[in-house]
Amino acid sequence: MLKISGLGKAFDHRSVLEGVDLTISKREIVSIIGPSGSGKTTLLKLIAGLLTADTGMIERSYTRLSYVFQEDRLLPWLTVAENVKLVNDSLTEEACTALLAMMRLADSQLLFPSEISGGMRQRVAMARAFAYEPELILLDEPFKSIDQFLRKQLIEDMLTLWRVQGQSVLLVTHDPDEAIAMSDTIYLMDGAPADIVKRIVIETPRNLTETAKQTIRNEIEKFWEERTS
Amino acid sequence: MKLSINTDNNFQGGRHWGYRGLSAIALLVTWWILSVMIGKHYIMPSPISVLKEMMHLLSTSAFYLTVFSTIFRTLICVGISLAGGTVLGIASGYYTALRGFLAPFIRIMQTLPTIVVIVYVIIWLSSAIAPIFVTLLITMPIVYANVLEGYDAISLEYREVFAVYALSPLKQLRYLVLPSVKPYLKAAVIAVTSLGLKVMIASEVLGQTQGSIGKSIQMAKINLQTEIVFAWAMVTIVIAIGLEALLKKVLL
Repeated sequence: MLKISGLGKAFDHRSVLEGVDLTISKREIVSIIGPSGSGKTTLLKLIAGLLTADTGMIERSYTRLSYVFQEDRLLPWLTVAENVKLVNDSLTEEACTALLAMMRLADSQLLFPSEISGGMRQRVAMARAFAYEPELILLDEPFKSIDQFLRKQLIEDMLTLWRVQGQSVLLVTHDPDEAIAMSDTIYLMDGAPADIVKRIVIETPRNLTETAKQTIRNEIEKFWEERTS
Repeated sequence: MKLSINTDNNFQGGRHWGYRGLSAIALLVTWWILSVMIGKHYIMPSPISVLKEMMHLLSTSAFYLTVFSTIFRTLICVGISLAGGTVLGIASGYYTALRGFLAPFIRIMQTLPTIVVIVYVIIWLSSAIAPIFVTLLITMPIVYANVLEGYDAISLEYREVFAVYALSPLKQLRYLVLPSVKPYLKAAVIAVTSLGLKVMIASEVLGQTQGSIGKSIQMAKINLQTEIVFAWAMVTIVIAIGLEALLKKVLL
């Protein structure tokens, strides 16, 4: 699906990423955890083609890619439904309604982004990403500005859609809990310039007991502690 | 002394009629005092004599034809300026080569004194066409600059959304570019309508355009009928305010 090898990027002669290797298979959910400013967004923009890499290679075997940004980026002059339909002309009214209903936005279709809450706007952005019927979805800390309760709901909503459509997902986050709740594989990213420093494969993804989740959480925390000490 | 930002919505919305009324009365009184002090109607006519002259103008059918022809020409210019300025502004947003190519012309038109343009164009074109051409030359760069400013103000965030979802240039134009430049275009419409009327009349004065407000003002000036010059000035103010109000109602 996606194979990245030796990827590097510098801004104004300051290297942000260097030698990043990453693979995402079909239907796989991969998370990248790393501290703020570690180049996670840069990596996503390189994959999306919004930036050009200085070194390395990105091999893509998909044609359609969606990107959920940190901000909702909805067009303020279009309604919720229009924002969703914008990215896919073949999306029927019924399909759009069904998609929004899955994101619990059925009653907000005709509202403008300014008339709904931040959490709802982020769900619209997510619905837009799925409406595109992508083979790969990039998620850039989409739950960052959302409270704990709503965050859990959004993750569930996202996984519901993912189970129906089954695309590959690359989630960037600084919250281990989000990564553990969603992923098949977790990559830890750190350093200056940043690189993948650890890979954790989850045995029974999205079906973990609390104890199993805690074990992974401990593994991540221990790794960060060892790196910083 | 403590200064703070005015948060009075009525003031921001320009609906402080009390102050406006007071200002208008002060202007009228000053005008009247000046006319009494000078005492020569051909230098400074009184407000009453100007009002009488206005009423006389309003009673003639030629007045309406004259006003119509000037407004019609102005609106044609505003229309062409809007269409041309919008197309060129957006095209310059898309193509930096065109932006660079047009930059010197726009700069010259924005800085050149209007009178220079009028005088020069009148030498080349007939008196009927020259005012239209001059008004276009003055107003179109304003629309162009406004539209281009609107294009440049489109956030990178939205551009990235359109790039990621590989949306067609037509969709980009319809759903991103046009809605983004719309507020800038509205501001341009209101600005160029008043300015267009002023430039149009100035060109008509110098070009002696038949059946125009400018020619009527010029004839009154030659005959030292200052009341008529003032009456036409008042008519022009009323037309400008009327057109602006109409456009604001339609566009805002």
